[in-house]
Amino acid sequence: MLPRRPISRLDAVGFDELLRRCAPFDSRYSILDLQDVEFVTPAGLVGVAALCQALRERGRWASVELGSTNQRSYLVRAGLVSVLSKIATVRPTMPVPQMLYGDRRRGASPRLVEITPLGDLDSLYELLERIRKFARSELGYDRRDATYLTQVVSEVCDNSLSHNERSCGFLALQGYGPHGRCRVELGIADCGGGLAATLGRNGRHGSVASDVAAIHLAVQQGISQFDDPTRGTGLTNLLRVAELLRGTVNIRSGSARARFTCEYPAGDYAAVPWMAGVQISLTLQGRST
Amino acid sequence: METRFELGRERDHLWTRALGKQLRVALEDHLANAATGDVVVVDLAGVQAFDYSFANEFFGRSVMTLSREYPGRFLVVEHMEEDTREDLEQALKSLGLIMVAREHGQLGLIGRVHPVDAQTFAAIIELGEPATAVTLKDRLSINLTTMNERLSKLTEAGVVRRERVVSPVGREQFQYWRPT
Repeated sequence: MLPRRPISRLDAVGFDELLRRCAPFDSRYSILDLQDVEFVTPAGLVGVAALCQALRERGRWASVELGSTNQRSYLVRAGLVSVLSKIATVRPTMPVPQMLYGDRRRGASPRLVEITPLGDLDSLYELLERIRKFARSELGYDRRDATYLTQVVSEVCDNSLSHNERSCGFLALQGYGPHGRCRVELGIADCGGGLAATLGRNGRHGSVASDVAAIHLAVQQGISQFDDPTRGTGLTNLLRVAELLRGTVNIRSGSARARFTCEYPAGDYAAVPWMAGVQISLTLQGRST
Repeated sequence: METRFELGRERDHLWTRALGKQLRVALEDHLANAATGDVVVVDLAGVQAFDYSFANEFFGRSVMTLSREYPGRFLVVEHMEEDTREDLEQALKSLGLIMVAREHGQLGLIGRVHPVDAQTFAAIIELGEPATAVTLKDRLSINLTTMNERLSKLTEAGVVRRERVVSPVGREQFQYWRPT
């Protein structure tokens, strides 16, 4: 049997591999081994946070094993260590001031919107304004592209807050590359009921047969858990903007993941290890200003 | 009479469904106080952007319920910028709705506008006076049944107002009024 390659990149795909290897929902005490991770994207940040939150809500307690000094430094700055300190055990143990350093420096890192718990709808407005200004000033997006980005963030966050009975989501955003042509990754994850369960609450959809079917249904215009004609446009608009800006969207719910690109607008579906809630990552290519 | 609802009075970026609901309630106060034939203008001057959740809740729900809850009142949107126009149009299209927009002083329709809707509405505007189905069908060279169907659709959408009148020869008929 060949030795497994270490997980060096914790993005949407790396998160699936982490779940596969750690099987965190199968035992009362879960160890999430991030020791070999060298690069973490927003999808990885929010995925780990949502995973630990989901375990905590199920009476399980995760131990998150961190890696190199550089990695720990980034995870502190990105706010993940502070979030995890409340819902998991972080090893190696850090002094509390160090763990919370990211909180004190919130907003100071260029190109980074630190992992942020999705609170209520009032705080969402402030978060969206921060993202819009960030897109303009740090990513060099023109006004239109900054608006597009903010619109889709709003849609996805609103979905997470509206469709779950309690706030259980996280958001993070990181820019990569030169100013004006910055590539952006956005990660939003919650540990709520997931698409199959929420859509199943609307009798019009019947019982949703699978997580794959749930994602396929959820991205269609007008599909919502609410029987409300003004709803059901969030994920459709997300995909539309992603296509407009030559982006990629990953939507993960339960044991299915779908990847939407310009080449595969209908979605490329895959089976993945089960995880509570919905996790979405969006990668956009900023247009030159 | 025309009253104005300044959407950009307090914020130039309008995010979230919750904000849309809050402002829609305020808009409904204007509509409730308007009389038959009055126009409530949603003034987008100063508004740089809104998201679709906001648009669906504020514009979508207002337009959807207009003819039922505030019959005979008109809702007109004005002072859109290029971006807000694009997003409003997208929001209305996704909901299958149309509404009246005033751009450069001219009235037109925005949203999921079928060419025949645009043609019919334009004909009513051009006439400059309350129109009947007979007048319009002659103007557009279509049959009366088709014209009545078109006018019913526009009336239900709230972009024209229908009033029952008695013709000079004593017959009951409908007159169709545009926003003025």
